[in-house]
Amino acid sequence: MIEVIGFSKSYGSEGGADAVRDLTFTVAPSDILGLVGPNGAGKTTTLRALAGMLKPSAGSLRIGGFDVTREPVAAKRQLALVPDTPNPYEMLTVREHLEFTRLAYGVSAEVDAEALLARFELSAKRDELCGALSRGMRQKLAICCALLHQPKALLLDEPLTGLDPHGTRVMRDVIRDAAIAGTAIVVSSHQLELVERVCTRVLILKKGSKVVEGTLDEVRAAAAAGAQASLEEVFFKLVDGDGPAASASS
Amino acid sequence: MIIVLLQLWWLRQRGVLRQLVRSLKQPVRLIGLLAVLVGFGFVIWAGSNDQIRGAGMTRDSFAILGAMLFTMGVASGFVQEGPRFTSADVDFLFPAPFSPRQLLWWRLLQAWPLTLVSVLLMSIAFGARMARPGRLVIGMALLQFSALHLQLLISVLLTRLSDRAAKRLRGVGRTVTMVVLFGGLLYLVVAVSQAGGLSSLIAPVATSSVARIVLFPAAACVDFVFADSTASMVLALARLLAAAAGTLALLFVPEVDYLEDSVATTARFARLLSARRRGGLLIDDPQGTRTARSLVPRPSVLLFRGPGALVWKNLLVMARSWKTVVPGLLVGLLIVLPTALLTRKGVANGHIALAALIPATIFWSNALAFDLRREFDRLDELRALPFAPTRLVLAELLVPWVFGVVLQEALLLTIVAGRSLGGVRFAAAAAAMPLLMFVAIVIDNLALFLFAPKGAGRGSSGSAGQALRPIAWMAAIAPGVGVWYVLLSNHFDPVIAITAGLVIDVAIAVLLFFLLVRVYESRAATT
Repeated sequence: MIEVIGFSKSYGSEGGADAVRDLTFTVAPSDILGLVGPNGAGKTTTLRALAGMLKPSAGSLRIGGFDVTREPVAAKRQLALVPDTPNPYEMLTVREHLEFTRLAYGVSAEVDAEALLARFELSAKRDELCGALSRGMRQKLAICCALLHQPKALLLDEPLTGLDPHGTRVMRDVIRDAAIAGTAIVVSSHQLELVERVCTRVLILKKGSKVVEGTLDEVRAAAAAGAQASLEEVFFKLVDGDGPAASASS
Repeated sequence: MIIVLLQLWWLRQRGVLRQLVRSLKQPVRLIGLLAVLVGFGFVIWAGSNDQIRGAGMTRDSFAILGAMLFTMGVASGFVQEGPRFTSADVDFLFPAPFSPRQLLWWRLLQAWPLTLVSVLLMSIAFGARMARPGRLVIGMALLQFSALHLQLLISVLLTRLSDRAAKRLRGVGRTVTMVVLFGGLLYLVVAVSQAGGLSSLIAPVATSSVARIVLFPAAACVDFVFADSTASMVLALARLLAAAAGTLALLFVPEVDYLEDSVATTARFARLLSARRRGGLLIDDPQGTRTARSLVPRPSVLLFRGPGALVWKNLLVMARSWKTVVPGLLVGLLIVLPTALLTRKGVANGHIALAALIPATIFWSNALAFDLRREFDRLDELRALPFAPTRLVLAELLVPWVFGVVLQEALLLTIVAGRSLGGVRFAAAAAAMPLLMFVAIVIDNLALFLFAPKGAGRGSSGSAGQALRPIAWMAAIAPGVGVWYVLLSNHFDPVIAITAGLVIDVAIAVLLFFLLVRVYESRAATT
């Protein structure tokens, strides 16, 4: 469902620094890929490129079979992006913001937005202006908006930022439920515990290049770590040491 | 899809309108709105009053105004590499299934009403000076729409250029905008003062055949507004409509994916807007890496110990913000210089020139806002510093005050040079300048604390605060001026009269300062 083939991205003038270099991965329906890496590794760049907001310098990105560069509208119909710091329309209420998203994606009125609000404990805030919401509430709203049109590909950039313990638990459940429903999901996060608990596969990026990709066991094996090693231990071993710059899986 | 965009647009506008109406429940906002309305009322009354209006706006003056607005509108396209959207658009509409062209429609749906509002405001200001205000509204609206379409087209096409070429064009666009803005303002100041002179220099350029071709929508707008027959009016209107429709069609000819550049442009403008909300000043540096450190003394200087560290920090920030400080200072100069240059004879005229320093004081206080106005989002951090609030607030106010006073005194010397002003008057004016600037800066800081909305959009003093600042400043210095005037009218020695006035105003300034300290201490944490 999500295919990234030889994706590279450079910023600035010709010959500028590469934010991402020759990145390739796929995320099948019901798969949850954890994208982890230090600051500046290229995680957000990859997600934004998948969402059609950045042009790839090389390679191709496909969502549901549609090339993001050549058929952006068709590709975007399939996906939802939750940015790391959502900026909702401040003068709209929570309910109106969901209505806005419903209109933008052409979602039928039958889809139960209230259930989404209730799940994230936003029902009491439905008539409050988005400008008055706390950071965590904005994050919850952005996730509700993302889920409203039942995307086939879900891109989450630091989804737990600002969430309270209840919100964190709900978020984890929501990600799992979306995967069960067949959504291909990419979660970019510094919270390795979340990635370990939720993701079916892990991709570690460092300075724009893939260090390793695979299931947690495959990543452990690539790092020559023990079977009980946590993702945190594996991460530091691969990122701080000279880990393999190759896929652990086929 | 356009229907969907229209629905989205209406949903958003409804929210904005509702919030606007709700905000009027706050007394300060209502007072601010009333102050603005009174201001407009005065402008309309003044315009409709034959004695004040005089001959009204001439065709040449309007041609210059139209050319200026059109050029500035188009030139500002060069400073946007990719059209500017809102952060919410980037987060919620860019990943949504809309093509770049559809997003351009969305941008236009946001920009057209704002353009209309600005046209209405201009029409209120200038309409009373025109014989046909209705035509003015239509003509200006179509002219501004054409400029907007071209501005967006340029910003879209800039994304096709290399970074280096775009950067160069951005520099050119910024320079053109600045030259036109200040040239135009200078012209208007002189023209409004009925002093003449410059209009005869600029008008032939603005009305030349080359200008009529290059700035054809502006020329069509002038022809439409000043047409003296129905046929010529219809012809000019057709040209204007063709300009607006043609530029709109042109905008949708190139199929360019500008989203990446718009994301960067939007983020850059969001940073600038946020900085402006904090203090009216900003650092427009797309790379965010350049620093100016040459002119600021080293932090080891004794003055910069303790609260002086805030002075050092404010100096650094000011040095890095010169691109925005200089235009702000120039606006103040524009107000004073024409009056100073055109009233070089006689004591009375000298007083007029001195009086022109007063609005400049208010502008400069705004331009040099390197004080608490920039710290509004960091009040908790400031409070955690180990300094007494009085010393801290004083340190914060020092940079704008010192620079403002230096500018005022320099200008005062320029005005006084070669005039027959007496030594006492000059000394009084020189002594009053630091006081006037201090009061202006304290009031500007107070306005931020008293009018800034809590929660979303904090850091903005809002229109109410902006409108009331000059009035509060005048009210603060009025008692001292009043005492001086009364004593002088009763034949007291001028030195005594001036001293008494100054003492009273100094007392008021001190009171205002301690009020600011109190407000700073009591302001609830909002960050």
